[in-house]
Amino acid sequence: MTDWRSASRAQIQLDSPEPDHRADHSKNKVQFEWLKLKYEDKLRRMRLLTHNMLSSNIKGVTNGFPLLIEVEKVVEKAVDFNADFLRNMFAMIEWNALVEASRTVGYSELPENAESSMLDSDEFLQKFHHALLELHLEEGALVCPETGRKFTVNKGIPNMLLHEDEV
Amino acid sequence: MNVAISRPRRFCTKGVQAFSTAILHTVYQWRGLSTMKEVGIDGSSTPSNSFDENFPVLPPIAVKNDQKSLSSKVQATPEIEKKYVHRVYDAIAPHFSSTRFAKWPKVQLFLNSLPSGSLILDAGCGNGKYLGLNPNCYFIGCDISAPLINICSDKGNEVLVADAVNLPYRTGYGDAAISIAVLHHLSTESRRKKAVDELLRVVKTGGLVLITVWAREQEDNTLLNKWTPLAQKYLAEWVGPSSPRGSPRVRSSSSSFSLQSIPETEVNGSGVVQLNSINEDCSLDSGIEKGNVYQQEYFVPWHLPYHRAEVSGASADAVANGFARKDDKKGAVVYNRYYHVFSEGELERLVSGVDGAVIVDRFYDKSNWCIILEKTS
Repeated sequence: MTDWRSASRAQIQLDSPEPDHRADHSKNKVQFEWLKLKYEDKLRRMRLLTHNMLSSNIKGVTNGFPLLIEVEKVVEKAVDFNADFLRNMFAMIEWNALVEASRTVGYSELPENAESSMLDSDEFLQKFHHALLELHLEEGALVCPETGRKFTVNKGIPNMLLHEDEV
Repeated sequence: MNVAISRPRRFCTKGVQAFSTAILHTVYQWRGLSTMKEVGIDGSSTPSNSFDENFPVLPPIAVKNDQKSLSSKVQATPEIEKKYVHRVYDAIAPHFSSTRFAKWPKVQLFLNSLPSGSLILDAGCGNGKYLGLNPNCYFIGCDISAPLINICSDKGNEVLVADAVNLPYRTGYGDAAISIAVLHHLSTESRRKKAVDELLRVVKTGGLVLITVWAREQEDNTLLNKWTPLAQKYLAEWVGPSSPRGSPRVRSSSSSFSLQSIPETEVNGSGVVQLNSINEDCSLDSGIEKGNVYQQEYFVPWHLPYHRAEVSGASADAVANGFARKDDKKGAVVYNRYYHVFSEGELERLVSGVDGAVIVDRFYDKSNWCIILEKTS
């Protein structure tokens, strides 16, 4: 009986929007795990959206886009779907670069070519959403297409700082 | 084409995308809340045929475009910024972050005015307190301080390490960009101008850019007494001439700000800094009583309490090599941060040489000069 009760309360806590601060001390562990889950869920890595806007701005480089991706670790993370954002971004996205980048990180469901009329298709939007926002490069590097200079990505953070002789 | 400084294009409805109209509409709405002071440029008084008394029409400012003369020197980070901005923020990052949670209402208002689905670029995001503020928008932040960026990332924000003077983004991508309390850490006018160029470059046509900087005209003048004015000699060594000759003069306003309030000097231990007489290179000196200094370059202290964990590591070294000092009375390690505080009208003047943008709003808020630009081409 006791087992059932605690399991049920744990379930309630996991589903509630905020940890139940009134819970007694025996629930601390569950709360802790809940917070951890929430925290983990918020962790983001570098998305292909970011890749699609990054460019190597080393002095003298005329076309620093798109950066090549060297993959060490990729994670998938579901994020909220926002059709407004997808439609807004579609005009700005370099589609070929997105297709190529998503292939590099192991997703090849995007059509070769895309046009704005496809934004009416829910299936297309879902794929676009997944490629743009849910594939995260956690470890690896971005490589300048012209010079081969590597910008490392650690824990999902690209370091795009240039050296003195590159500015 | 130079920037035309104009009042917001209130009557320009045809051809404006619904997207930007929505933004501008909101911007109008909250202008009523602003506390903008009149700004006069070139000594001219503001015309009275303005539609909005609080928002005078200003004549376009002709600024000699010195962009061509911007050499790579503009982009190479000066020592004073490396030492008294980057290194300090790296050293104080956790403590700085723990004290940076209050969000300025005007920035919040701006971000919340952006349509759902906007991509917002925060250049110089610090601890990322504005990232994700509008849950319907997407934010990408960057800062030159890796320790601050790690803090942003731990909070779940998408961020990267980059220099606001040289943004690693391709052109015309974002819907809006913000630069909150960043430009005053850049030590030359050409670098500040380059940072503005970059903000405008990375947003799309119709995109908005919000810039805020510390004002020389502080609401609490006593704060100035806690800052250390940088001497001319010291500046020349570190920063170089503060602004190009021949740039337009900004009329010193008749605001209540008292020049007498500038302190002689503050004890700062280094002995390097001393108050100097009028800055001959400074073009912002008109209207100033003879003998007074128009001081805009300061060291602003950051007190890192002894009990903070980071005192033991990097700070101990910093104290040992004279980069920081101990203040036993306050129980803190004191770091100096370099600031170029902006005078009234200076931000407008800075953006006046930028191509393809108009000022849609500007205001003074909580001791900051703020400006909103719209990219027009």
